[in-house]
Amino acid sequence: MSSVSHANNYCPAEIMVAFLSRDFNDSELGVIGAFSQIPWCAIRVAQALHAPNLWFVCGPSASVNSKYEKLLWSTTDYRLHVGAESRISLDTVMDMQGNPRFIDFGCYGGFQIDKYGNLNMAFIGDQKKPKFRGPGTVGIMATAWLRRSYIFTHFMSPRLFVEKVDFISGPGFMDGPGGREKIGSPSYSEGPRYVVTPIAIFDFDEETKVMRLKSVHPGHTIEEVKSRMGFTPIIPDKVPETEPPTEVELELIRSFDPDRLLPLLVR
Amino acid sequence: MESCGKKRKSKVLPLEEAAKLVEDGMMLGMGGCNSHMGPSAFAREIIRRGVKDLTIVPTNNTGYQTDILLGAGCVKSIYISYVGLDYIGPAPNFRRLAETGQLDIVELDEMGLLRGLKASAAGVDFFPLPGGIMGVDVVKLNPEFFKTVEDPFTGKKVVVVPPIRPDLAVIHVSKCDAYGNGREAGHVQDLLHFASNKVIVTTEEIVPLEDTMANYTDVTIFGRLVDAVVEVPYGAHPGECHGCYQMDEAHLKKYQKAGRDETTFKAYLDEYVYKAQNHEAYLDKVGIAGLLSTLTYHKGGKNE
Repeated sequence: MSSVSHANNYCPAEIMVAFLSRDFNDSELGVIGAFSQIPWCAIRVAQALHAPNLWFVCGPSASVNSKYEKLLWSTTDYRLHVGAESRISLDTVMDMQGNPRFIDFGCYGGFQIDKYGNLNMAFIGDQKKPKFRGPGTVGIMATAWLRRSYIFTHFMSPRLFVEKVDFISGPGFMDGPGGREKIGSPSYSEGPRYVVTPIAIFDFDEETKVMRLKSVHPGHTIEEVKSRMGFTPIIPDKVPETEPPTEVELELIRSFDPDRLLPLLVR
Repeated sequence: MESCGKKRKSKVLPLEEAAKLVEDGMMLGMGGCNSHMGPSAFAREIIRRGVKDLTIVPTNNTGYQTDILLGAGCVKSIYISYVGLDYIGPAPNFRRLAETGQLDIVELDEMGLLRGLKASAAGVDFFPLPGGIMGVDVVKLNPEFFKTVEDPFTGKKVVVVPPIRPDLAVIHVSKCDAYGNGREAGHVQDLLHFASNKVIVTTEEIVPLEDTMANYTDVTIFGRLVDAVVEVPYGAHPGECHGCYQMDEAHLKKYQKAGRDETTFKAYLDEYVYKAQNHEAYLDKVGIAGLLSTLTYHKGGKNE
């Protein structure tokens, strides 16, 4: 095998970008939402390195294949239109999200994520007087029917990774095996594939649909991962280290982020 | 050829006159996507008029332009998919009023909200949603809005939503002519104006009809549906207006801080809305330095 040179001076968001970018395939169509700096970079890196025919839509601005030169805080920013190949209307974004012919993957988050990959963006407690009021479900209901989805987070804590979400905004595997079928989710829709965090990556056990530790980023431990979660994920006997960004990947990531927003994302 | 001798009627109104079209208790459609392209100056004007008991229907995601109406006590009920200030963080009045039980929130998601508007625009009695929506808890929370019917073709269960038809929609664009032909420079949120009974367009600039005709493929707002056109430079401030200026991040942070508490928010409203008795006075209050700080597409600014 060729010896790939890995970087060691990357920040947490950069290893997340590298991991995601490798999983986006040529000729696919991806969609990203607001506050999606990590997925935006991952798509740009994938397009540059191995997927020149990858298409993407920034959900809030509905700009298509924006080539804007650098990462911005907001995916609604007009500058993403300046570098775009086209734009679609909000109405068409809805058609695309609900129709299997269109979108291959989307990247989402929430203020609560549970062991089945369900996401909450709405509220905790009684809706009429919630203990915590979040911004609302937004577009993450799309996890119900997109071909696959990725969950990403900017931090890890037991309040974020909970046994059961208070409200399902974005359906993961619902209550376990068969859960997605019960809600009428289309069969082509595989559900959440990976949960990408600043210290570890998770996938979901094929049988139980419970979140499973897939790899731990260099410099972090399984114990640390467990201590920062409100439930215990499946932990296999052998958990590898996450592959760091290669030198080439890191150089590309930074070329898309000259203002260095990525290091500011992870607390 | 003889002409009829009558002139085509201009729809141009001053901001103060257009704001009078908003009546207490109306369902008001608010344009913009989070704090981008929001009709912010219009929102401040209806606050000055003391409008009450509105039901707010945002195009989709909403921010400052709606949150300020909530904080000023103009709103009885709000349909939501998202209320927030983009990367700045939570919409402060929305969060505070919700957490103290003072807000009636119709908890929706983008698909439910936009398909309700779509049903209205298309003139149909309901609109079906894709399978899988039953897994989203908005369906359980709103049994009056999300109903399950049998698909007459396949026999499968399908969730449907009713039309949402605002009495009046207000949207902000960068360019519009006197007849209501408006252009959205960035994202296209034309659905709201097709779904509403009346439409007010606020615009950075009223352009001559010739300018519209020279750029007619860019027109996204159908002038026939528009009741009033209002020229309001910096009308989306402190939000972004695509193609014109960016978000005034410093002002939005100040706004967010003020909105966390009822007393400090009253002081904010006094300073920027009540004592600044019209849009010009508001812009004076913000100041030239503040306004220039938003012109960062080419130089300066946080991302540059």
